[in-house]
Amino acid sequence: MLPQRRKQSTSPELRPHRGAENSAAARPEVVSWQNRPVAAAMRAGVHSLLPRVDFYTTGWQTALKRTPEIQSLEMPWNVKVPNVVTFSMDMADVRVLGFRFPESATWNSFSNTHNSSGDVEENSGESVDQAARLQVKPRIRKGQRPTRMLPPQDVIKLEDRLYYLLQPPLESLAHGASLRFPFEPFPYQYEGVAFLYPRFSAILADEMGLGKTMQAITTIRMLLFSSEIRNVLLVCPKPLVSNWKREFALWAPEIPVMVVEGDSAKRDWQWQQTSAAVTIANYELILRDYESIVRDDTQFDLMVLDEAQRIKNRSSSTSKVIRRIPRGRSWALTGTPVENSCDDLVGIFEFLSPGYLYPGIEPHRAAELVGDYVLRRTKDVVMTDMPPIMNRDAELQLTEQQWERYRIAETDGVMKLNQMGDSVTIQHVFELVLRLKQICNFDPVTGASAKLDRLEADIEEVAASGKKAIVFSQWVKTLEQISERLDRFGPLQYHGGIASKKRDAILDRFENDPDHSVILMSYGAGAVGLNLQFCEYVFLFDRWWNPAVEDQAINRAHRIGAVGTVTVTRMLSVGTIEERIHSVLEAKRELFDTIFSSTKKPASAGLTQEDIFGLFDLRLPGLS
Amino acid sequence: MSEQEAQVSLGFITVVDHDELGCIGGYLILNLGGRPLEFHCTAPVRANRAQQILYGVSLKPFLYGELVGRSLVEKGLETPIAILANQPELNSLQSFIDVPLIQVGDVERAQSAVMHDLQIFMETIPIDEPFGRITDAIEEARRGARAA
Repeated sequence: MLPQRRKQSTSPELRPHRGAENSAAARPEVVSWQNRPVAAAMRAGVHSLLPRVDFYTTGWQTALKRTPEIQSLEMPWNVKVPNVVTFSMDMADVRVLGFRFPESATWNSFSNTHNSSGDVEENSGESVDQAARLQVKPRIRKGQRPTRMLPPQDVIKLEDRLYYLLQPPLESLAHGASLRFPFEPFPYQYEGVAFLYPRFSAILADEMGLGKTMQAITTIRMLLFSSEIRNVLLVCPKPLVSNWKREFALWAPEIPVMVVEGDSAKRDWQWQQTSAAVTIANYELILRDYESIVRDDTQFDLMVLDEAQRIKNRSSSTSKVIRRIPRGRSWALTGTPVENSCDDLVGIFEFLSPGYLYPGIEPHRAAELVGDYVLRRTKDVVMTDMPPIMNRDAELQLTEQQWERYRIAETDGVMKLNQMGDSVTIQHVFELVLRLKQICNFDPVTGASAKLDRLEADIEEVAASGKKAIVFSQWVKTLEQISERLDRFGPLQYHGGIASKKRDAILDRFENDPDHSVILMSYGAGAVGLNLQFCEYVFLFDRWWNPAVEDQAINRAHRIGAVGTVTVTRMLSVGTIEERIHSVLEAKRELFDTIFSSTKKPASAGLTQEDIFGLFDLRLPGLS
Repeated sequence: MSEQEAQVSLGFITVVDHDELGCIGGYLILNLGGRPLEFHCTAPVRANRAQQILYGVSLKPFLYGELVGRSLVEKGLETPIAILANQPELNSLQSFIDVPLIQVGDVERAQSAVMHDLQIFMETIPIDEPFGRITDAIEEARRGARAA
């Protein structure tokens, strides 16, 4: 059965195409479907390839004749305009910070700024010879790190800090100024100059023998050449005046130096002179001549204190007078800025920067505060090629006579001190200590001496090998006793009992005359400022009260130019007061290390009254 | 060194690249004795990411020479006889200055007009030494700025 023909939809959109309306009834009706718009398009020849669908109507096909309902949906066509990001290649204006520095002096000639008067004692007499010795023209060697100045921390203004930072290396400055040296300075010495040059307050605390004198003189020379200073007052212990004069002649022969000396009228006249760039005076004269120094409102651009530990006691008259002298810059030179306690350093800082440190300051706190003001180098660090020191502790047994005398003296002495009760003073204890130490040197009755026996044997060996030795003691009498026994070695004596004028000649004989194998020195006169680097043996016949002075003594021999290992023999009588003092001295070394080393280990106290009483197990009066 | 020579000056320019801040330029003018006459340094300059990408390899010559170097030299009051540089990226500065720009490695090939003065300078100071001063001064200025 053929399917019934169904009424075709007359939907305008989709209408059957009756292409077979006239065909026979038997033939199945063929209905063509065409999308009318498509058909129209086909007619227009646009979609000519669209298939035409013809089919026979069947029962189920009638469904196809129904006009489908087509719904149209309107879709919004909102295309967003893309965002455009523009990258500017322009950069903001560069901010520039500018500094302009004053035109520096050309350092052409020192004599342009100082006309030496013939009346003023100066180096000019020696300068021609000395200048001829200045062979070394400083320059930066290949591979050498140039030495540049760094601004001190107390220079705050950036412009001032940059001024120092941008200066040429010292080697170049000296070269440019045609400054010549008798020897090529060591790199650490250039660093010392770079440290001092920009500082108004400074301590050069190098270990003895590293050339503090040369560093100070070179810095003074450069400051004078650059016209940053015009006059300098250098204060030193009396025995060192001639040494300073000699060193100026060696390192800065063109600098006029005036040594203040003579009677008061001459000195008064000298203080009024302004033609000398450098004035040298000893501590004692400064005390005496204070009124003359300050009479005409004289101000020194720089004041240098050599062996500045001389002013460690703030209440001493030396310290007070020194601090009152008007000055621009203040430098202290000392290998031992701390001898007993931190207050020593406080005393020196009262000269450098009053009030900066305070009495009783903790060593750690002091170490933090003084860091930028103090330059301290030791030989083992900077002079690695310097001959070493060989320390020998000669621990000696007292002779029988000495020991008998010592035992009685100590027992009786301690008993007396105990009997004195609270009326005992440090002075009483000190007297006993000195007495016992003297017995350790010599038996006062028989003259027996274990130390001298040993010393004689050692000097025998020293002389036989053609070497030279220095023997230190704190007593002139002891030195004289030693001298008698060592007579065959031609001993020379150098101590407070020798007139200053004779001292240089003695040192000269000791250095040049092979008949003098040994020089006997007191710690007071011989410990500082002398250059005896030709000696290879040092004997400490008795021990000083603090290790710093002993080090100073040792460093007369162990300093730049030392020819070989320096052997130091520290004589120590076992089982005596000397051993106990030795323990205290070691504790003092620790204190020094605490302040002047980067390690922050706890400090030990120095030699306090309590320590001195403790040498005999006595308690301090007033303490329960 | 005569006073006349002391008046002749040389410029030294360098740029320090700081990881966090960007680049900071320094310009030091010295007399022939090596003494400082002027110092100029810039605030840090930093290219942003887009500039880094878009400038590509030309970024450094642009930053160093055109931007930083030019700004520095324009601020100088003294006119040196030559400017010495120690970074090839600074060569682009030459387009903006009237004096010769010389790389320290090429000093030997400097024009004869400036060679005499360069030799006077080098008698006293190694030619690359001032760059160390500039670097230290930039660091000092930077620390100072930070503290302020």
